Amino acid sequence: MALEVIDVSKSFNNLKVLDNITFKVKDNSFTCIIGESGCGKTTLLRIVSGLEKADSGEILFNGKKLEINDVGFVFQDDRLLPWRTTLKNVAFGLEVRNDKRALEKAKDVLRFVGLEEFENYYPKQLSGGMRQLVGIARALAINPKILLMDEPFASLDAQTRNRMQAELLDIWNEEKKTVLFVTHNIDEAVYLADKIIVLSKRPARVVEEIKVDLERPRDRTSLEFVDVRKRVLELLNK
Amino acid sequence: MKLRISAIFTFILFWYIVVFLKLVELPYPHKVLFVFTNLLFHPEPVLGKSLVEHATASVLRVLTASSIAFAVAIPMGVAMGWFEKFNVFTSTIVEILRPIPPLAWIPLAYILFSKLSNPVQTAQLFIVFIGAFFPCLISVVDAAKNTPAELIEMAKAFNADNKKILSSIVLPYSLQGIITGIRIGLGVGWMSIIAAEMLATSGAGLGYFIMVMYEVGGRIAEIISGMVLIGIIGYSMNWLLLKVEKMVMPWR
Ligand SMILES: Nc1ncnc2c1ncn2[C@@H]1O[C@H](COP(=O)(O)OP(=O)(O)OP(=O)(O)O)[C@@H](O)[C@H]1O
Ligand SMILES: [Mg+2]
Repeated sequence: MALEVIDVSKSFNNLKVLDNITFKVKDNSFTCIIGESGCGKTTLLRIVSGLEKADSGEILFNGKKLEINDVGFVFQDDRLLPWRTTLKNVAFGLEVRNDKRALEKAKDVLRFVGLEEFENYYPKQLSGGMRQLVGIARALAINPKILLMDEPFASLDAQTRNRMQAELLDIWNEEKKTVLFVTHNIDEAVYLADKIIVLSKRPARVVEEIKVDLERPRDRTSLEFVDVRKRVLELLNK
Repeated sequence: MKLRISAIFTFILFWYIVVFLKLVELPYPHKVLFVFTNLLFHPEPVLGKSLVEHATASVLRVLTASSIAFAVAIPMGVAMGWFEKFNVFTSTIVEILRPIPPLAWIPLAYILFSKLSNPVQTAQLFIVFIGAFFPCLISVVDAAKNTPAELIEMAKAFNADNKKILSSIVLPYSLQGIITGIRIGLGVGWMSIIAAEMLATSGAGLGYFIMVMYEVGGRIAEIISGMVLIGIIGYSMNWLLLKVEKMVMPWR
């Protein structure tokens, strides 16, 4: 039971972005993909989700082609619909699936992420952190098997970002999903991941996979934590 | 608000001075005001209708024709903004027809509809249709075309089909353009109906009223009264739609 990315390559015109990317992700695990800005992380997630076609290679989920319906996507920018309230935004994916209980389920998810008080707010009225949380709730609402997260906290200030990371781990603990989380922030990767996949500069290749066996909640200042950080940093600079 | 009131007073004062100095042959504002308030509800003897009746006739024509124009322009504009090929196909023709002023259509319209049982009415509706249609269409196309690709991608990531994307992303995103289009379209439609009414016997209508007042011997106060009402109605429609805009888009 796993998500497999096999030999995925992709070029845009003459720009090679992904070069034979191969890795495996265990069910219900939290995997971070780290790589510097512009190396092809978003492209990789778009290919995994099926939004973009790879030039070669394939994505398998439990041995079969991964369906877009199994995927919940959280974007780098929140991509909430400005004309919809929090509740209606969260219900979007359920609506697409013609779920008759869309609003009820959306309400449940909002309660779950602790935003039930804000269900009638428009995105403009929410803080950046809350907007990202709504984006996460929208992805969770369709109960996806795999959660793809593209630097969801990149635009937040350090404090909010740390809080959101902790909150995300809480959510993940309760909802056990397979998470593929893209970031270019080393601290974030080490704090969140069971496994960190380090990508090279463009064209992105997998440089190394690092298992992070630290207990949660992790202490960002502990020696072990700093050790892993060092390791990732070295690999990124290679 | 203070500035607005003083603007009106300045204008009226200017009017008094111009008339007092006999620079042009105009009645004084208070004379016009008297005629205006009198004719508002009391029938004017030549045509036997009050200003309100004339205005109602004009407004109804504009609303009928504009509604038809918007009912075509809005879906067509959204489709043009969304399907690139459809846009290229239609915009070629639209761009040629668009610069033709509604008034230039008047003679052709009267000929085209001459065989119908009510050719004048139909031609006038057609002219308002032309006036309202193009500004609305352009505004809607523009809005729909600018729907952020990111939002469309978001919808696709949730496996939305084209129908869902159109109804839940492109259409609401275009709402601002739709309302602006309706506002501008109504404005142009309003100007067109007045002009169209001036060219043919239509029995009622502010344009027709002004024209007849001119033909029976230059009744300036009556003419200006008609003009004032045209201005007031045009202004009110615009104002109302600006309010509606705030109401239907509470998220802004
Ligand atoms: N649709 C596209 N057409 C052409 N080039 C593209 C397209 N999408 C991405 N690219 C290019 O591919 C490269 C990788 O882009 P991508 O967005 O995947 O990087 P990223 O790692 O997500 O960067 P960041 O950390 O800044 O988000 C960039 O050089 C970008 O210009
Ligand atoms: Mg990116």
